[in-house]
Amino acid sequence: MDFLSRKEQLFQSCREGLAEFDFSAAYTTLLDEHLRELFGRALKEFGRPDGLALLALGGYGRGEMSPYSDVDILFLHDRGILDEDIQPHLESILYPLWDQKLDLGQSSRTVEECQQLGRTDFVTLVSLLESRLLAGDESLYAALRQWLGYFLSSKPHRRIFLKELKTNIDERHEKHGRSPYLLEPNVKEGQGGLRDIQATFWLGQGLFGFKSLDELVKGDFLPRDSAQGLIKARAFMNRVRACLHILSEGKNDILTFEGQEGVAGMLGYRAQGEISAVERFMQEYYTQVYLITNTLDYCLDRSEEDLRSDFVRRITSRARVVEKGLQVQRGQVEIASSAEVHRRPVLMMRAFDVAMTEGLKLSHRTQDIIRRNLSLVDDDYRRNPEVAEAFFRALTSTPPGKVSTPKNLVAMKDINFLAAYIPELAPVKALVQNDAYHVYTVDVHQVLTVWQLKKIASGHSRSGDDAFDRDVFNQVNDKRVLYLAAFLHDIGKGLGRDHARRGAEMVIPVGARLGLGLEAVNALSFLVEEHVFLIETATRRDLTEEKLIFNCAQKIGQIDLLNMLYLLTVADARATGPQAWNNWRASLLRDLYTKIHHVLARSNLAGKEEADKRDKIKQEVKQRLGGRLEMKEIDRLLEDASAQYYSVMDAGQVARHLLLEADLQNNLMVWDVRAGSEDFYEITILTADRPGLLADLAGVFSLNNINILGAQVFTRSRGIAIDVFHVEPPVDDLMPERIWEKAKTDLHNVLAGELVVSESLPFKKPVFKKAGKSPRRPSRVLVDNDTSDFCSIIEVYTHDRLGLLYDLTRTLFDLGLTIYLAKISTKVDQVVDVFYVRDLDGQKIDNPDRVKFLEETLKAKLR
Amino acid sequence: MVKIEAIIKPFKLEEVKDGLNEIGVQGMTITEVKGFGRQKGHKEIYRGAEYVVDFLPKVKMEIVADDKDVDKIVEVILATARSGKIGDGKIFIQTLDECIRIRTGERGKDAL
Repeated sequence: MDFLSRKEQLFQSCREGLAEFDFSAAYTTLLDEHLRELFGRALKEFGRPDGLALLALGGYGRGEMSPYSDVDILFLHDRGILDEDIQPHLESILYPLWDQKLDLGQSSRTVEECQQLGRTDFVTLVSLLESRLLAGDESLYAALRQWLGYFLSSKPHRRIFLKELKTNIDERHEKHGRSPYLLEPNVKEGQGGLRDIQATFWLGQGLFGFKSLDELVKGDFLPRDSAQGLIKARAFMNRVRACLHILSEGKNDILTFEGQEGVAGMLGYRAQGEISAVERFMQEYYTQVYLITNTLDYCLDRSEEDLRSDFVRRITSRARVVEKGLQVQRGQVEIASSAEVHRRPVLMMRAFDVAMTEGLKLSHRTQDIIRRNLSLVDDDYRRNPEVAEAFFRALTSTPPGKVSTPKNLVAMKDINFLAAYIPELAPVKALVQNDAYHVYTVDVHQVLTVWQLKKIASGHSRSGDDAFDRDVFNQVNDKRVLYLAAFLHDIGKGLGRDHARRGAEMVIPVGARLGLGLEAVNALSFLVEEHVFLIETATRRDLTEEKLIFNCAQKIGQIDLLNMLYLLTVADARATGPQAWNNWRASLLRDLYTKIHHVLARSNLAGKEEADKRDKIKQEVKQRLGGRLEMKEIDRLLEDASAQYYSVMDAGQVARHLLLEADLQNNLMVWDVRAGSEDFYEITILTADRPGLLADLAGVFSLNNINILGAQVFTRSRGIAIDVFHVEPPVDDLMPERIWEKAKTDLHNVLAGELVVSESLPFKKPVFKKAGKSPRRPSRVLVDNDTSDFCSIIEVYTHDRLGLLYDLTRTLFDLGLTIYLAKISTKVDQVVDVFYVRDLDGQKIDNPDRVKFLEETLKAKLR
Repeated sequence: MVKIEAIIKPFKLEEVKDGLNEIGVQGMTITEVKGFGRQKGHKEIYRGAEYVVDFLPKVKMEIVADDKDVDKIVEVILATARSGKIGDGKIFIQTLDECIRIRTGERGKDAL
């Protein structure tokens, strides 16, 4: 069978299922045979010159071929390319290859040319390191290899090699996404991908002459299980890449969502429980990615250490002893030995503590020791207060300097130390969240949330938003609760629906175990349960609704909880992925936070006491009215009323008002008069609210010589105004009903549009009254725009007189203001009137000029 | 063919989207924007410090439609996006010269 047919056969086998099939090796072998055959034929036809060899380079040289990989070859020779001796050989090999549509990369060089390029170009050097002799002059190739070995034997060369390698890796990572945990990762170029495995190999080969990944265990460079893990990871990644190429019918290395589905299917993954096949596949994928990233990191660090000059080594070798068994050396935290850990297991957590608190790295050796001693993390360990203390110190620390990477946290997570310490973390290890928002797996996401908190705490940015967040952070009482909530907030995922609720339950025993008090544990649970509440409310609800804000305030209840919830929300969003957080969302959240904060700080209406009082009133009202109205109706009417309303009414009044409101159905208004005591009568009026209503009411009272002692004015949710007046007994107190009846009729006519107060009032003759002799204090008008986020509050201090309320409310109406709430009170003849107003657009009166005008206009009415 | 652009309050997005889905509108583009009209920004006072919020978060929604559907779409947006309070937003309507589906190359109404 010819080459193309065999190639197609191979591809077909790959399409049919790659579970156990090693495409890479088979394809490499096929290519080897093909190229050797071509080379052999060329020699037969054109003679057999010395000094010509055919080498495989790059992926082909390594023997790692994906279906659409490039085939890189090099003609190594010792004479000029135009020499007639070898020109026909080259052409006879290359033309068929081009005709066969292979993605061919080829060059021809002498050994000297290779040396020249290798000396100065890192990429060429590495490709030569990976070369493999396919056919031809062995001695020529040996010369090249000898030079390579010689070149890299010098320490300075090796240091440059390491430096260039690091730069190369850095640039590649920068270009392809600075994270191994991307949603749609690049299997080849991304962090934790195939190139990283290659880089590890280049390290070993370039610096230490290792000829394969297996050899990395030589000289203790890499632990055996890590090397084996890396080899398995490589096989896995190659299989994934092969599937991806077949699916895309081309050289596509990006594991898109669609690609993930396809590859999972081709590799035979199946769903299990709540977790789909794709999620299981990607869980495996990310596990391999962690392994590859960590191994490369480890090898880079090891190489760096090994290459250090003796001088530098001596300087930095001085160790600082932290405590017995624990020291800091060369900027890394070191546990002395496994024996020390056995002697004092808390050392493992102490190492973590010191590393996090001082911003140092945990040496790989130490990570290894911890990994090997995880069995010591038993139930006693988990309850040990000394361990808990160290853990919390690590978790809440803000190390000096820039908080650049969450390396230590991630390391502790990857070696399973944290999962051993908090077993509840097990289900979320490498758990994928299959939606467009979440870029990271759950366990990584939680670690990154903690890290985002630290960034806020250390205040390492100049933007105004960050200064605000840091201010909030500094007010948090117990930061352990906040950090622990961040670390565990998604712990309920992977176990089905409603992860917030479940997580809230799961963290309670954790908090208790770690020594948090009852209040702290409750706060922890609350934070986990409500960690999406603020952002959902901010983006989906109307923040100009006072009732909404009030309900939020009541739900959260305390400023400390609000602060922690806010910070958790910000950190969570930032740690989710680039799409989840931006300035737009931040401003909505800030708006909500500030409004809730105001309610909690400025009134106790949202506090527990007031809430209990409200509940009691509601219960009592329900009992009283149970027979007379439908429960649903009662509930609805009770919900409509505001917290301010409940804070001044008792159950009896509320019940009465409810009945009145039920009566309002088809009537223009409802009017109720009863004697309050000897001193006053209570008149309750319910009607549809409209601008100028209060002025009309006050006007009608003035027309009928009814003097208002006090009033409470509320607007219900659906536009019903409820006005409760306390009025002086009428001038003619023998037959009050007559007055009330007339007032009621007048009001009805006003509301029906048949009587206009402003036209009637000027004709009113004032009643003769004894002139008061009390001293006159100056009147005051104050406009308060700080106390409420929803209304401007106007306070008027002045002397009582007939028609005062009408004058004030009429003026407000003329100025285009609507009254939402009013409190009128009179003490002897001193009047304090408070009006909560908004303009006709529903806005506060913010403009300082308007405020001044308002104050002066009102004051003019008081003279 | 017409492009309808609506600037609406953020919390109204779901409602408007659902309303449009119900009358058969299948595609739209959403952008998070900031702006103001007569609903001026406001000052937040937090712990004694003043924060001025000039630009209010809104959502911009863009829909391309056939001429005959425009009235219905506008009606739905008006009904669902309205809260009655200032800052509800505006609708802009522009005539569209051409519309092409990238995957198939279809033009005009076929591409809607």
